[in-house]
Amino acid sequence: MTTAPSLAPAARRFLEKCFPGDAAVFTPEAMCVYGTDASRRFALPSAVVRPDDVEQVRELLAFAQTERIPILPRGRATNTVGDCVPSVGGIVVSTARLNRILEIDPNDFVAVVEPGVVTGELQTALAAQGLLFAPDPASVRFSTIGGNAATCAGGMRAVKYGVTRDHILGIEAILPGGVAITTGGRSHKNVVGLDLTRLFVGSEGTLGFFTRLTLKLLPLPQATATLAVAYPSVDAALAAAGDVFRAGLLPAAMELMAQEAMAAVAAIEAVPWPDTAGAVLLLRLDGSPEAVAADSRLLAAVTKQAGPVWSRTATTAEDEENLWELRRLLNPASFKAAPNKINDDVTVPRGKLREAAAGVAAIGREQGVRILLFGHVGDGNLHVNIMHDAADPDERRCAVAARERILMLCLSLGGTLSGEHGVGLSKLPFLDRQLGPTERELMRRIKRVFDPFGIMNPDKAY
Amino acid sequence: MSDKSPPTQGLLDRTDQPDCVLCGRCLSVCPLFAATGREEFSPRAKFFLTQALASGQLDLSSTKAADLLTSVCLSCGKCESVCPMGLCGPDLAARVRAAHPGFAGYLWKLWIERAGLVWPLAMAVAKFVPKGLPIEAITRAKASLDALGSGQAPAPWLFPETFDRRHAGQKAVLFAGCVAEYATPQWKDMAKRLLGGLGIEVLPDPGFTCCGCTLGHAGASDAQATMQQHNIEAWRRAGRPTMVVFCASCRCGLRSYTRKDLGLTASERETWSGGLVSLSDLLGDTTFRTGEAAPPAVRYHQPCHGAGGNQDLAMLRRAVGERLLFRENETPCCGFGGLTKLTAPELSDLVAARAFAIYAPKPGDQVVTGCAGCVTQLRASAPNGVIVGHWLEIMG
Repeated sequence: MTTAPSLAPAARRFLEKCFPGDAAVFTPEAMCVYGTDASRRFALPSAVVRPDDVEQVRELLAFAQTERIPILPRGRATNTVGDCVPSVGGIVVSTARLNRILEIDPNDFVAVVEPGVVTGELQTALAAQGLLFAPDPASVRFSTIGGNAATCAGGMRAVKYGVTRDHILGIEAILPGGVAITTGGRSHKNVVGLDLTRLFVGSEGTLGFFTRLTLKLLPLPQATATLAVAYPSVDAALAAAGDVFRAGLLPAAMELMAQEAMAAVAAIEAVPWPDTAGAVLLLRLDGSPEAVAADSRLLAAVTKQAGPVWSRTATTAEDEENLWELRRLLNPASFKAAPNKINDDVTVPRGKLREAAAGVAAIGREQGVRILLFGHVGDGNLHVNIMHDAADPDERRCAVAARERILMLCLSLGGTLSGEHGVGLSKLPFLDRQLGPTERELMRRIKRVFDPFGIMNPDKAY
Repeated sequence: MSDKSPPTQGLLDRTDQPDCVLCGRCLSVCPLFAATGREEFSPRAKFFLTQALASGQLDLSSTKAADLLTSVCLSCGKCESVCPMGLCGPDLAARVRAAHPGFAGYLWKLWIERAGLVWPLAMAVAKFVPKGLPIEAITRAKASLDALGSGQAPAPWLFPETFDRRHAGQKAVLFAGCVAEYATPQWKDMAKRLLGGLGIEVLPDPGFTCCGCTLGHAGASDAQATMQQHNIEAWRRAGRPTMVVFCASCRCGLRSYTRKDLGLTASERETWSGGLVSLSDLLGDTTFRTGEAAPPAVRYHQPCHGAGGNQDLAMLRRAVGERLLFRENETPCCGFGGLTKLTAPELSDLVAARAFAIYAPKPGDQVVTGCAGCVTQLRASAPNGVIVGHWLEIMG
């Protein structure tokens, strides 16, 4: 653990004036948590502020640019790659008090929100009006729209509806120097100018501070149904996944859990599938009741081709929930399966999934590490959790070696280092394996256009 | 706190506790975080601060850290219910408090000097106060808060018509709890009348004291154990009868006896758990008539200490019908629990204000609940024209 560069007395006076009362924090005991996130990396910030209006953010970013002090936007700090860690010190800016839903417009199919709104809470408010904001990262109940936008969060519904980037129509942000900008708008189509909205989504807090986001809404599907199917092997399950698409079906979710992942869940909860299962697919359909009923029949038929050993269909909310809960339990279960895990979210072209999964299993065997494999297979997105005990140097070495081999395997298959978590600090060392020097330099030059002195979440992402 | 020895020392050698994985789930349920936007109050912050202290790699003031760790937690336990590691914020606060060598004395002083709205509890614990402390202060707090007794209580508007007599002829004791014992004896009277209607014979009070629930989280584990032993002895003397409760927190506190080694034999544990019943459950199929004083809408406030089910909600749904408002995704904490009411009353008030902001009651509406602490807190912070009561108070 390190000590952050301390703040000059004048800087502290500025923050106290701009953020009166409990809105500025300087004691290390209270700032401690603001130095970390779900990556479990840590560096103490120089100060923490919690604005409750945009004018405060504007003043802060003007001041920070003049003083060259790093700015670290922070929602609920649920990202797993270190995006919220003030690795070179600086001022953490919490969005906890910028958490208002400003507008829900059922005619424009648009919502306007502040960055600190919890995505799940927005979805609850929208559902009451028959509306849907489609992105649903696993952290949907406890992460914010601002954070989801900063990382371009994915989720289970991405296979049908796309990722966060596909559902943000416009952004208001403050740039270093205190300049307010507005990108995009509230039209569902917009091709005027360069698409700065899509550039800002997924920028991991490196370009500006989001103050307001305009979101694209959809009609809430009237009906859903869930099918769980277990197969003797991962390969058979992935073959079935291919059969589903080939039959002309586009599920709203398509999740895979391989044997080790299923065992981790079984260790904390009763599971319905037989011991002989080597993998399970969870599929959800949505639409009108008639369409869901027809698609369910087709889905049940096509998933039989690859030789399932068990299946269960759920059409009531409660039965569906019971099946999806098994998938959600995987995250808590994984924490209990071993003292430490390396958590990657590699993604490959859909057609390369079987090769990727076989390769990951082989690497696990060769390195002698246990790997929990699961993921959003409809997107080619595999979550690879390398379980180990970091206190054992040999185990740690094997886990780190396995990680590097898996990342390289996925790149060799035309995939990407990250499908949804982002780069942050944790994937930065591998970035040159995926991005060329020209492209990476372009990204850095683009950053300098918005942030000439490099104060926005410095030394992260690209 | 100003004790010189490191207040968090007792935590440093613990290895049986899993580490917080910093996932952030607890922030979504922590009422203190919701009301203040101050992440340093969240369970995640406290577990991380504890880990940082233990690592010793950061220059932290253990006194300031202990202040954060011990004084701001509402003991609602919502964090534990969502934590993938099963960590419990209130337990952490209690551990830090218990580990602090000067904390017991500090705590008693707090009880006495700042009793405020917690005076009924302070009255109940008064006999356990170490000698030499001026307990007169509690009586002063009581005098200034007599308005809480019945002044703003709802007028009855729900009247039993036909009682469910399936338990008629059975005998039971009433475990009334501190608030009913010292502040609102009319709750006890109403409970006895209802039990009479059900045909259940109420045995004499065997001399129960506070359930001890609050004391445990306050870090006064010795005093808590003494009270628990006292209650068990009283129960044994009375012939191990069925205990009827009408306060969710008391029920929660009493249920926890069987999870601790308090000298209950295996068969006694079974009798204790099985014999702990909610008055709402006993009302069963009792039917009610709605009187003219009924408000347009009545919101059910779900106590955080509702462990073991929602007996009150189920009963009220049957009895009140559509007039009763309850939404699963709107269950804010009242802000009464833990020590925060004493250590940081302004934070506790913010939490109550947020609860009312969520409920958004109109003048003339009522809020009912089944926990004495929630009633006390919400009644003191209700907006004008909104009446808060224990459900016993709406019955006549």
